Amino acid sequence: MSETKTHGETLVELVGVERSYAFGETQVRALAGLDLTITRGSFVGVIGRSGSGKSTLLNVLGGLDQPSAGQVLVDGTPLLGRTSDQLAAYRRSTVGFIFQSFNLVSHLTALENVALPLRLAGELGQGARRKRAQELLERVGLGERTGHRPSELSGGERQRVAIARALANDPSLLLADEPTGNLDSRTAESIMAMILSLHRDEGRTIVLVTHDTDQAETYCERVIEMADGKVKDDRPGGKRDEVQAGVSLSAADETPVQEGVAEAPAESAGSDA
Amino acid sequence: MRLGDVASYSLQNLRRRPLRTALTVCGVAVGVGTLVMLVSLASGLQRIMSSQFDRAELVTRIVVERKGRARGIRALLDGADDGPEGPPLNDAAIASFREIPGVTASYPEIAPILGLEANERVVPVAGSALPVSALEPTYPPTLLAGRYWEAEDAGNVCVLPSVLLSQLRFRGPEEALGATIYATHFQALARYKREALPQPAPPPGEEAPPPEYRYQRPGDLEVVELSVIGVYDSQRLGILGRMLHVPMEQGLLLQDRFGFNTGQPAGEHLRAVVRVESHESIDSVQSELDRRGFKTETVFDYLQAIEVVFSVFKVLLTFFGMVGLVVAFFGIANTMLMAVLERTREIGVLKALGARDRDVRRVFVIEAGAIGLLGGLVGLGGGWVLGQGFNGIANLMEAFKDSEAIARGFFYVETWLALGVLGLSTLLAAGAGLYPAWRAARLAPVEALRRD
Repeated sequence: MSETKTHGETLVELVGVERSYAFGETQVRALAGLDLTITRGSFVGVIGRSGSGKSTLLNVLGGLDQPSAGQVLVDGTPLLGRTSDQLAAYRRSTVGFIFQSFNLVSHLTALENVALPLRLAGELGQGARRKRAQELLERVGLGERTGHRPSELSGGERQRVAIARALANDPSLLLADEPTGNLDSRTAESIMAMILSLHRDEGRTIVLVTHDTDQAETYCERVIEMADGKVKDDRPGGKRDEVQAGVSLSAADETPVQEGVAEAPAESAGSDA
Repeated sequence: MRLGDVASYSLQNLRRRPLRTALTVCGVAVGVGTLVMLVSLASGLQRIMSSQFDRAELVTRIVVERKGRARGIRALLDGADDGPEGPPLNDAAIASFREIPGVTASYPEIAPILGLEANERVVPVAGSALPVSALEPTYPPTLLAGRYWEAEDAGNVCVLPSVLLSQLRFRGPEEALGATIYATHFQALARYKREALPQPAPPPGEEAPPPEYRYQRPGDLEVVELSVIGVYDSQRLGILGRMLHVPMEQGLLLQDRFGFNTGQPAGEHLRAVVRVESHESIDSVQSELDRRGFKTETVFDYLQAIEVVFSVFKVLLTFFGMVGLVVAFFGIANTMLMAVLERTREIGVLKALGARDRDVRRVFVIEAGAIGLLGGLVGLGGGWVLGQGFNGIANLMEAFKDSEAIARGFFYVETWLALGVLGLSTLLAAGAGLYPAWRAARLAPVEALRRD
């Protein structure tokens, strides 16, 4: 993550993005002229019903999927029209994914899974890769379980390994797709707390897709609600601050927030700086 | 992704499904093993054949014939038409060969096929008439008993090959010394009267030994008496081990009385033998003889012909052996396609983490190649071990015991075969992985991640 870039400047800009799929005769428009700006250092929650286009949005942002029309600019460079190798390079250097089903490679140990993006990047030698992976696993509290395979870890531990893996190449943009969807509520909270700390303590830009409105409103500073492939609502979140301050959620509901984009509450912005 | 990292990732994948990997490797190994055994059998036989000619006696020997009468190996190699008639091969011409530098002896090749009788036993044999000058320096082979003649007019003497001792019922070389044996036309052997020798009844439970016979010469049969003055060691002498050595004068006489009519004009010989100091001078002497208008043949011409025959043989066997490898090719392709299906989601993850299409492709191609290399190693080792086993079994059989064939081995894995077969199985296997790898590489990441 580039330290020279400042918070608040635009990291991702989507203009009139369309993505349609053909299912036989019928065309399904997953994204229908979507306009969206995400600023650097923000924590954005994307909510919406199934089929609203939120996963497609995440795939487009992550360079896993190409829009049919429109423009996607990340750090000022367009994603549309890139070759498959260029998109792979983009995913390697700019994006970190956290999936609902963890998507760890089953035959690799926790350490090898975390080192996998570094192995794909091919820049570090094996020793340096292992060292970095070890550090990352310690950061997510799994320093003692580096030699375990995914099947030997609990759901929460797997997701922590996945988070460490997402951080391996120090990406500018973290994309989390229902990261707590397969976890019980207590584990889900600890995972969300970890993701939140990545935003707060390290100032990472995070886009979280979730069907859980409450989760988005609790942890994210900005909540985007999607419907029919478009932004239906774009509002501030930030209930977490009240949660952490011991204030009731109902009080947080009444906290006045500014209308607009990426305006984080003062506390959060302060901790990010 | 660095190539080394791709390779280590591929090898990790192989360990995930050890049974399936092992079965696929076995398929390759069977193919490679079959190929190795077939080709190494051809190589072994070729070596045994070639070794028959690998004698000091043969590599210093040039056989000379008159031109324009195509026969022998040259006729086979160069076609029946060997040009206009050359100068006659008479005594004067043969004597003149001795003036060529490097030549130690030259004499007409007198090799009558004879029947030999001793101790009421008979055996067919080829005579070989040798002048005293031909007995040095590279000839004769080791004498087990007695000596060679020292003068051209040594008379009715001969030197026996040791291989004939037991057939003529001599208990050893010493017993044969001084014995009288009888030479006759080999077709006359049919006129001998055969009579089974009485045998004691075998002990109960044992099979009766093969019957022994006594041969009685018809009273009117014309024979030449020969006195055995020496016995040479014919073990491991290949095609030279069954020749009865006689002095030149005696050979001419035997040829005259019992040999086949070679149809030569009077004073001319069908073939002559020119012996050279060492195999290094054979080329210069051969070209001088060629220049003088004679047709020449050396053992190297035979070796070349053997080479041609065995090359064809090897190509044929390689073709049959390849059938197994082709079957293994489809086995690998199947295994790799299964692996791609099974790991579709993992491919999606790799791509999401930034793997390029070619990284994914390489993972599968290297994986397939590794299966090929492993199968090649196992098959090569297995084929070699089996070949050695057959060699060992053959050594237990009376027919091959201590023979040239066993000393060399029927199965012989040449270095080029070992390296070639490893390279071939690896490349073929990698080739079998190309299509599955291509399918894996072109998977859309979103689709792949959605797969269970």
